[in-house]
Amino acid sequence: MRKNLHDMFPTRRDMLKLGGMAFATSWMDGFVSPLKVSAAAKANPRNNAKFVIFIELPGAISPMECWDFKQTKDTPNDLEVQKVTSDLYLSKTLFPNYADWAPRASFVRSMRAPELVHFTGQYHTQTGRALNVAVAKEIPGFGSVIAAELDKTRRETDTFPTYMSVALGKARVGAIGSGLFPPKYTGIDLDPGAVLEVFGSNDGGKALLEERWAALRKMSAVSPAELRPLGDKASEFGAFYRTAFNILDDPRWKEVFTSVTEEDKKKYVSELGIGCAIARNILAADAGTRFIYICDAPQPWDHHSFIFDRTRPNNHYNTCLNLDRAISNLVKDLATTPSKTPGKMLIDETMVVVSSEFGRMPYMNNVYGRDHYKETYTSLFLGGGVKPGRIIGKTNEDCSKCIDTGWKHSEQPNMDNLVATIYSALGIDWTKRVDNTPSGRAYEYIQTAPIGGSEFISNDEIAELFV
Amino acid sequence: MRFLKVSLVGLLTSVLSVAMLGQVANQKKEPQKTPPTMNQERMEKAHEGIFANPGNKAAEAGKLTAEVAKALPANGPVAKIPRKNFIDDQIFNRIEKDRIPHSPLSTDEEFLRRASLDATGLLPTPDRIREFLAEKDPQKRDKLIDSLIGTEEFADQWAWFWGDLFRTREPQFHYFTRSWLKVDRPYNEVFGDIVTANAKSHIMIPALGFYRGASYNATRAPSPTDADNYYLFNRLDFIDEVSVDIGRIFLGINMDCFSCHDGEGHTDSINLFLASKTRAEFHQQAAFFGNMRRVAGYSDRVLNVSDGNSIIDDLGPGYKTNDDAPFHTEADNRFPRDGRTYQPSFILTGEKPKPGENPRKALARILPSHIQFSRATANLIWSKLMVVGFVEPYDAFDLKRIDPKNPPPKPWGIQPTNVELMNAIAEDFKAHNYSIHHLIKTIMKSNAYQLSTQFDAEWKDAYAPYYARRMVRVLTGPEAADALAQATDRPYRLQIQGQTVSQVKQLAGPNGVGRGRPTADGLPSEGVGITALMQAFFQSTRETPVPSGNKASPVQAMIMMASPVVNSRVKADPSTRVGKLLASNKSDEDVIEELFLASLSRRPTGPEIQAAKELMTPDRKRGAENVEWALLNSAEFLLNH
Repeated sequence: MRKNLHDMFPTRRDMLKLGGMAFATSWMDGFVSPLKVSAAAKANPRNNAKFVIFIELPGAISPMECWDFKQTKDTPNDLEVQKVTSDLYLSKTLFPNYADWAPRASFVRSMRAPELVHFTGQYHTQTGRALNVAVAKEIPGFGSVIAAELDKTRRETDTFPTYMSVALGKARVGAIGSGLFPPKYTGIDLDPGAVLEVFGSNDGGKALLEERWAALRKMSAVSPAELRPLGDKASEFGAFYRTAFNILDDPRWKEVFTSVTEEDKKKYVSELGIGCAIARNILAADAGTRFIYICDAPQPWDHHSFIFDRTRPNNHYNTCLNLDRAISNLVKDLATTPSKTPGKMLIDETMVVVSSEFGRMPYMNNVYGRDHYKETYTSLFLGGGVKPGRIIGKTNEDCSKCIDTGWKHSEQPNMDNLVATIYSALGIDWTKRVDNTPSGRAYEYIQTAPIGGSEFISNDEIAELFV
Repeated sequence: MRFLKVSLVGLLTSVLSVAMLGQVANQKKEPQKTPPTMNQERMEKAHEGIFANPGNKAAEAGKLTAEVAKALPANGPVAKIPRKNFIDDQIFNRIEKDRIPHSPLSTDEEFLRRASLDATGLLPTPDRIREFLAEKDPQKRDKLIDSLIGTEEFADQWAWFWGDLFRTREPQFHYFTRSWLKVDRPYNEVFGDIVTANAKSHIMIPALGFYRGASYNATRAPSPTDADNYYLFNRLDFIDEVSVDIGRIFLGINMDCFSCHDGEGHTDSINLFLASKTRAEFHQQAAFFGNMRRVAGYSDRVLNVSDGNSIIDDLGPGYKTNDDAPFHTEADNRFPRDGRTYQPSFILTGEKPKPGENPRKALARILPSHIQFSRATANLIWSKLMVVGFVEPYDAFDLKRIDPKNPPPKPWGIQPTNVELMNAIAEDFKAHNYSIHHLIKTIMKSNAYQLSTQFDAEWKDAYAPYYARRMVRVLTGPEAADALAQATDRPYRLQIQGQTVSQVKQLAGPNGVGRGRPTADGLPSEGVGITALMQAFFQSTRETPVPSGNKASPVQAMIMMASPVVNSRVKADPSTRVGKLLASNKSDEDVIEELFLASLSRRPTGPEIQAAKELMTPDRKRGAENVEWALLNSAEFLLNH
């Protein structure tokens, strides 16, 4: 896997490139190195999860039949609701395997969103803040922030990027890049429908890749563009090519994809499920990835009509079943896969978070669907340092109002606080800010005063999940 | 181990960058003194174990560069660059005055590739390259430029560029953009088309596709309770979004900040002009659209309000912020408005519509005649062709910092890299009836555009505003995808409006690539792979304003090395260039030359031919595939240089 020691140090050629660079592009990029990051020094991140998997359910799962069950006149009568605890009722029809994951789960039922429209909502989910078009160009996906923050903890043997995503390229807002952070913190996005073939195929494999890499180096060695450098972009390419080659050449990489067995495909079934199987393999490889963002792309949950009608091609029976299979198998597999820490299983070190961008209407519309609703929705947490069985927040009899925020603040938690919770679990101080941004406007990790409305966001994690 | 080397190289980049950036980048904040220095101790501590003494390596790098520069065969003294037009006068006068070293002119090979990519987003064919190199006509570069501007391929390339700005999604609006580009409709009239359009169905008048992006931020969740319920669309929010979009694209000004609150107290350390603007002034600018309504139709098919049949008309009650019934009045994505009614007034001059004049028509008349319209457009095109704009990014103009006769107070400096040149290009654009063709040709025909990337002296970041060398830029998503298909002679099969096309740029936008539908003849679509490739090159989905591109990343490398879209084209089979060449009777040298011409747009050097021949022995087929793979994965292929 690792080559000669002399490969560790830059060659003369690398130094040449360095010296001969045209810096103008980095000047113009506005990306400043190093970023001036400061902390408010009030937070104590918990650092109680080595890994985090975030699963986005875009389009929005309906709380009142799923995780914040309410019996109303619109409730379908085939849900076979089971009492899990005095606070938690789950439908066996929708989640037949709930027993595999529900005992570990905690819920935040008081979530609130400022958005009612998918793309701004999903933007908020991926970046952890409401859209501000004025500075959108420099706002990173929160996975990139994690990659930047955890960069210093990477080990010599790590080849995989810190942040990876699944199916974000197919999501409505696409995979949002690293913004004001350096491009190397852009996550690598995997399309579960394609990567098993792209990276797991036996198309020549490692031998061919190494043969071609050698060919590339041989050609580069005599290329005039290498001898008299074109500029810093060319040097960046060289550096990135080495990084990419290291990943592709690492046998653990291919194993991630070849270890999605036929049995896995039968268990996990949907693309969301396959994405979870891939995530499981990535974490088991322990090759540098710490955060995986899985998107149930493109937007299967948005049931404005016939939400509980099995005759329709897309309905909540289908999507909940896909989700149930995905989570239950993921949890079971993580619980039976030993981590590299002696005596622990991966589930002990992996926090899994599942959320949508907003909720759904408390009443059905006249086509038997539920429309968007922002006042209340529910997110799910399990694994890592999450204490099982917590129910944080309470809604009224039809989920139309939050009657108890459930945490120490009077404002309901937003997606921003969910991101702060993930930061905290990974040991990242969520009160940090970057001052020398391209726009001049400070980038706070948690945006306490967003545009749109007169609400402020509490600059806090949802600590009640962990105590 | 390699990772460490990467970090090392990257770190040294940072070390060197800091010194440069402190000097040049943040003129806004700090007095022009010595740049802030890196805290040596802190940096060493953070990077213990990687190397012992970073300071020495940086100095060593500089020394090595100088040594190698001396050792390499010299190009000869840099000949005085002939001045072809006023752009050259401005650029080279300044370079000479300040004694800045500069690059020589590009070679014909460099120029042909660059000009083809910039004008049409396509590589020149091997035959075209040979032809061009052999031509003796001293005017051949100008003639080449003239032959490229205004072609179908030109229209595709620039329609995609404008499509990213406009956030185009629908083919109809894309065709509108393409048409005016092809026929060179005066850009002020294009602006007029967009802001004055109205129709029964917004799809029928393509220009109205412009409004689609803005309406996203203004639509509340649709609820099919009542087909006449306009309450769910926030008209004033929509008008505000449209005004912000127009400001960004056509004036180079980001009005989003003061669309919510006065600039003062917020943007004072960022942009003096924005800091001087008030929300009231924004409302007045937005009021040009005060009578515009966008009424979504009700679809019996989906039993819901539907985007597909919106009416755009001028029957609104004006920009009344206390009551916009039957539309939703309360601000949804901006702070609450103050309840007043605002009359239209142009943000830059206060000019109002004439009595009885339709306000949107007034805007179509007033805005383009202000010089800032021309400046913003000149800057947009300059930054695309020259890689570094006068003002970056394109919507960050600070109008209080662009007049050398009225300089801003210290420590602020003049913002554009070359104010006189920017103004000259703007005036020239205006004087030529706002012709985009003329603007592009004028820039491309200058020798400033035609400088080489090779720079023999030691490059300093401070030289960048002089445009003393050609900067490289990473190919855009569609350019990378199309170049790949072209170089390997294996076109794509993509669909738009029932037609099969072979280039990504012939689609209306990135969404048009598709996700895996088979094509009409049953071949599997490469949509997923192409989309992944384009995303790696930072092609945006066009939902939000486009982030700056021109970035390299490891994902690009992974995809170029492992994607089936690439690997299927590298294989020597009858459908690929490698396969066709091997099947012909060409010698190894000829095969190699053809591969180089097709991908790098130049002939191989002697050592390159030798290296490639060695790779093709003993397995000629596998060797040729590896050579092709190596060419496609070289920086020279993936960059516009």
